[in-house]
Amino acid sequence: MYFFIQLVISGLVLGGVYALIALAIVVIYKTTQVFNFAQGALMLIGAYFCWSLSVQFGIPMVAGIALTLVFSVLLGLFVTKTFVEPLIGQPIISAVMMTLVLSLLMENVVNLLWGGPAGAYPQIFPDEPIMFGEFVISSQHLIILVFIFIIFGLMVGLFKYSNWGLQMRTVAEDHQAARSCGLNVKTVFGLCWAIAAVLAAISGVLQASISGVDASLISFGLKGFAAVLVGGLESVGGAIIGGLLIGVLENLTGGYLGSFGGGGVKEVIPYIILIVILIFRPHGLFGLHRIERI
Amino acid sequence: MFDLPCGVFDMNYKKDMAIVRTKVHWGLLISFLVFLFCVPLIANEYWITMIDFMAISLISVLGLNIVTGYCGQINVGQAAFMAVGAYTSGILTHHYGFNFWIAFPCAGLVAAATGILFGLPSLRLKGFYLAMATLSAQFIIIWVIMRPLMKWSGGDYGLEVPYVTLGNITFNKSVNSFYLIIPVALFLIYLSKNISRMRVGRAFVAIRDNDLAAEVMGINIFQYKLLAFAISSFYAGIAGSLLAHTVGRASVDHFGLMESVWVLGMLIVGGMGSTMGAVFGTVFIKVLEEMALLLTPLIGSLFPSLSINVSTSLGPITFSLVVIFFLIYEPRGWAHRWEIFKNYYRLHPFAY
Repeated sequence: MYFFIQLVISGLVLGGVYALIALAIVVIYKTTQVFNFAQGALMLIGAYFCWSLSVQFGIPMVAGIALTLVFSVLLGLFVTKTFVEPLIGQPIISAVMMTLVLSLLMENVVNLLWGGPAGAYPQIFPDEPIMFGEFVISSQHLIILVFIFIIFGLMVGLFKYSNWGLQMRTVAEDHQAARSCGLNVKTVFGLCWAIAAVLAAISGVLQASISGVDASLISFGLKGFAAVLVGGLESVGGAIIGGLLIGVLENLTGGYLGSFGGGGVKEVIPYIILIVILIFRPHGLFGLHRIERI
Repeated sequence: MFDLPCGVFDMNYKKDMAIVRTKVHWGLLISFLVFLFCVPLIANEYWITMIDFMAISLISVLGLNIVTGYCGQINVGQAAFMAVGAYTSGILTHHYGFNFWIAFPCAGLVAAATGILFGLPSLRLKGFYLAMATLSAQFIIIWVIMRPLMKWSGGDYGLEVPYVTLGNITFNKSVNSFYLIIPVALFLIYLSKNISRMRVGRAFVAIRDNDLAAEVMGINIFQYKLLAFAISSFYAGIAGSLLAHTVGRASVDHFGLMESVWVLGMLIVGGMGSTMGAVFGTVFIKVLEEMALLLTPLIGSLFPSLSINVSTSLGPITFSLVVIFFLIYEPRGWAHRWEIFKNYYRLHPFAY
């Protein structure tokens, strides 16, 4: 039981990162109806950019993170203007291919500029074990988890109460109706991609501060899809539950089935969950159930 | 819509259905084939190797064209099906001492069976969801090959695969492999062209254009979607098997997710839903990749501050920029340009 709870606790941290990624994917999907396969690459860029500022240029970490966020907003807007807007009205395969190729492009640009795995970040959060009764959690992990929940709160607040959030929800409802209300749909697209890029940078920096900066961050973007689909594509709340669920399940699989089938099952379990969800419940736990027989 | 040259009239059904329609056409085709088979006499080892790999990719792209181009089912896992083919024939020949000529069709069939298995979600899913399902297939298949089947596949080390032998010829050099791969590729091009014109191919196109209407017209969507996945994966399996036996080893490095993206990109650049498009796309991207490699030392010397990874990054960067360019400015790819060009020169002095 001790082992189980310990695995769940560390799984929650991983799940928090998945939840952030899932949130970004959901935000983009709801407004633009595009699956963003490039989320992992955006994470990678954010993490490397921040690493470059704080380690190579010696800027203090907090300022480095602030600059990274500004850079992410610009990156998101740039991606929308150059790559996403021209594809409005094109078939789905174009959108899939565009984000996949964008991911390849960004990964290789990072590889070209920085090359190979970088080192670790300077310590952002204190890393000391905290005891809860008999259970141990690293203070770094705890702070990251709390931080992720704060970001979630901020995002939900943004969607619910701000003018931008209202615009985004309107566009998500219906493009035509939003336009006839005088909204600029393309601006809202840009806004969503900027938010996604910021979330990507945050999740990239947080994950990299745990596991170090290297190209494996890109796989998080793909595993985040499992979280999205478990939660349901249209559901913001589903994203966080799906994310935490996938993170915990991945960790439990790693703990109990670590050597099953020759090992490495931890890495594929999100994909197996994904395919099972797709076959039996494509709308996920909280998504909209569209009746479309094919 | 395409026009025939002046003075060509189809007097009977057979003529109307012919692939090669005029004498000039026949002349061009035969001289191209003669030229193709003479390439090893004039080109050096490097270029022949490149053509070998180009033909292998072409086979894979042709398969993807059937499932994605004709049938409209997005498949982001083509490289994994290639891996199935490569390891099937590798394991059969390495561990069980089968002859290549028996293992070769087996590779295609096992890959086709895997394709049907992972095509099953397509019965309930469309668009993005299907892309996700095939993406998961990519990772699951590679994991299954790497871990549970490690005893047979050799895991991270890969698998030594014997070269192909026929009589007393061993296909261990790129020139020899050329005469193994090119005939197979040509046959598969011909097959793909004909599949697209058969009842099966027309059913695929109907499903792509409107699945409900296709169902109403009496096409069994269930059956045809799985058939599309099976044919596509069969092609992939054949390509994978050829790749393993040409290189002399099977290793999962050749079959990652990015390899699938490359195959999709070649199809997009060539033009989906056209056999000639698949050929154009593959040749174009492969030649471009070689050119990017040739430019590597130049870029490295111009920007010495860039990391040492110029050679590994430049190819993918060029590729992704080209695919993005095509997605935005010519989503119908080279095949469409080729049609425009053909119509133009056939009608030349006149515009109609």
